[in-house]
Amino acid sequence: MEQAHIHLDEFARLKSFFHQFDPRVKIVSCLMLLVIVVSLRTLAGLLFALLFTSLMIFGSHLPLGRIVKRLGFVVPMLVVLCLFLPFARPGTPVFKVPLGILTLTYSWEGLQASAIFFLRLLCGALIVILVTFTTPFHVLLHSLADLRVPPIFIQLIQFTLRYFFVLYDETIRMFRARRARNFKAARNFWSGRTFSTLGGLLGMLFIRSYERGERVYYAMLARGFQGEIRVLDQFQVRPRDLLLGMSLIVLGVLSLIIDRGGWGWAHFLR
Amino acid sequence: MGALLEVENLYFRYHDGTPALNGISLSINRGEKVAILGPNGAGKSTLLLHFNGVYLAQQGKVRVAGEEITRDNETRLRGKVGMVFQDPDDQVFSPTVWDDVAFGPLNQGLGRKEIEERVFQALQAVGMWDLRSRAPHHLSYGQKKRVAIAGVIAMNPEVIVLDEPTAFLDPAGQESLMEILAELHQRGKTIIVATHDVDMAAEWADKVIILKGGKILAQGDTMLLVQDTLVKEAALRFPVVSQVFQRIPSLLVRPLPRTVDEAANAIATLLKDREKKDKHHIVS
Ligand SMILES: Nc1ncnc2c1ncn2[C@@H]1O[C@H](COP(=O)(O)OP(=O)(O)OP(=O)(O)O)[C@@H](O)[C@H]1O
Ligand SMILES: [Mg+2]
Repeated sequence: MEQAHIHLDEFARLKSFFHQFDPRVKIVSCLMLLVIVVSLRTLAGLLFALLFTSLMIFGSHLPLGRIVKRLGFVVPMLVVLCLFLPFARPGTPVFKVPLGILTLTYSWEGLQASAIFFLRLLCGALIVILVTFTTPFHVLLHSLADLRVPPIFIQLIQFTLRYFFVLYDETIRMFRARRARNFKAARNFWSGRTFSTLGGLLGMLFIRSYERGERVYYAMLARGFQGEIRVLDQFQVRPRDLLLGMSLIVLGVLSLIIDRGGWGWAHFLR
Repeated sequence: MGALLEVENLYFRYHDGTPALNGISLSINRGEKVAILGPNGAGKSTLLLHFNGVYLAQQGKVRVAGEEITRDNETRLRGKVGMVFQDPDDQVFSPTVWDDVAFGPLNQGLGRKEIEERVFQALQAVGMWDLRSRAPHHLSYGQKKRVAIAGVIAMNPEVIVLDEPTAFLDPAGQESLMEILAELHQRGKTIIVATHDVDMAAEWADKVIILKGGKILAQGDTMLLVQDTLVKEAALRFPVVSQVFQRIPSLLVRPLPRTVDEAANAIATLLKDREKKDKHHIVS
């Protein structure tokens, strides 16, 4: 193996209030939070949401460097998108780009919309990261099963994850074997020999995974598999879990109140 | 008492037409240690897959404890015959080691307490309890192999079948595998192993079955492993220990020793004889 495997949940065994949070309540409350956050419409509400999600991440002792790295997968693309979005919105111009017959307007309203779009996605990503970084992957799958997600989806995820690495190693070995016999990919992917060699490799990979699948199935049969993967559920919801879940949702509702009409609502209540 | 595992005139052909088994009959008694040997493609793996009903007999019969394996009772009989596959990646599929070992007992419909106890015992037996919450895809080959074995032990079968258990294990891994097998045998399990490792078969087995071209070439005790024509025909070789004695014909030890212990004893006796002769010499 040339590279170490990627670990999806390398920080899931740290200790913090969020790590000890019952995974099912965690998933449900964070899902609700997610829905609320992506429906926020003003900067104020979003900034508030960003503030408390960041605080939660901070409170759960996750290494910030890794979170930034994980965000690095989505953020750059998003920034580029957001920078160009204001051209597509009419409104008060910030500046104009004359292009012969038509003029592109960079609008102030568009810029605002961009910022809101960006913040929404950022908050959403942070919440997802918070959940996936603080829950071991298999626990996440177990709790999804507990939450009545159809078993077929869970098994699909489970097997994909399990055999991803097997296939990954197999692919690396196949590439290495080819390189050992002096195969060099031509600079142009479409060059005949490269193309046919890589094609053959891919085909081989398909056949191998098909046969692997068959053997895995036989091995499952040999241990009494009858079409349904059973699990022992092992979680218990404690009152503090419910409390934590509730407070997450309250925070979400709070940001929604800030978002829609600020403290005007509180006025009505009085 | 009848045999624990009986195979009667078994034929099997793969769907692409390859005839893998061509009339196999054998019987294995309770508590035996059986080694199945034979060249690549002899049909060893195919035969093993019949022992717990993953493949059903196309012709002939396979009986476990007197009961013929059929579609109706295959799941129940699988609890009696546990199978460890050659490649642990084929067998160990769950998200954690603990879950994987619990997979078989869960399928047997056991209660929670019982399952936890069995998983604990099985993981202890192979020395993997400390790694119980690890994900199998980040384990080493030898560790995955142990998990695979634990997954079968946890089902508490009477017979444990292993396909090439020592392949790809480092020497220490092979050693500890042999210890695990010895321990299982001590607990009264019947153990069947398909292997290319002649030395292991010679050291370990009570009974040897030699397969070739889907037929049984010979079955008997480890004496078979030093029969010249048979060994040649089955693409095997003599155990290393036997080769040493074979190279020095003047040693004239018959039958040829096959295990390290036998060899040591033979040499000790030779030395003693020599001493006696020397003394005799001095006296006369
Ligand atoms: N899935 C399959 N489809 C078709 N033919 C197969 C399949 N598996 C095995 N065979 C064929 O059946 C025969 C017996 O194969 P088997 O795997 O049982 O041999 P083996 O003794 O285990 O060999 P090895 O020592 O290489 O593991 C071989 O000729 C093989 O090519
Ligand atoms: Mg085989």
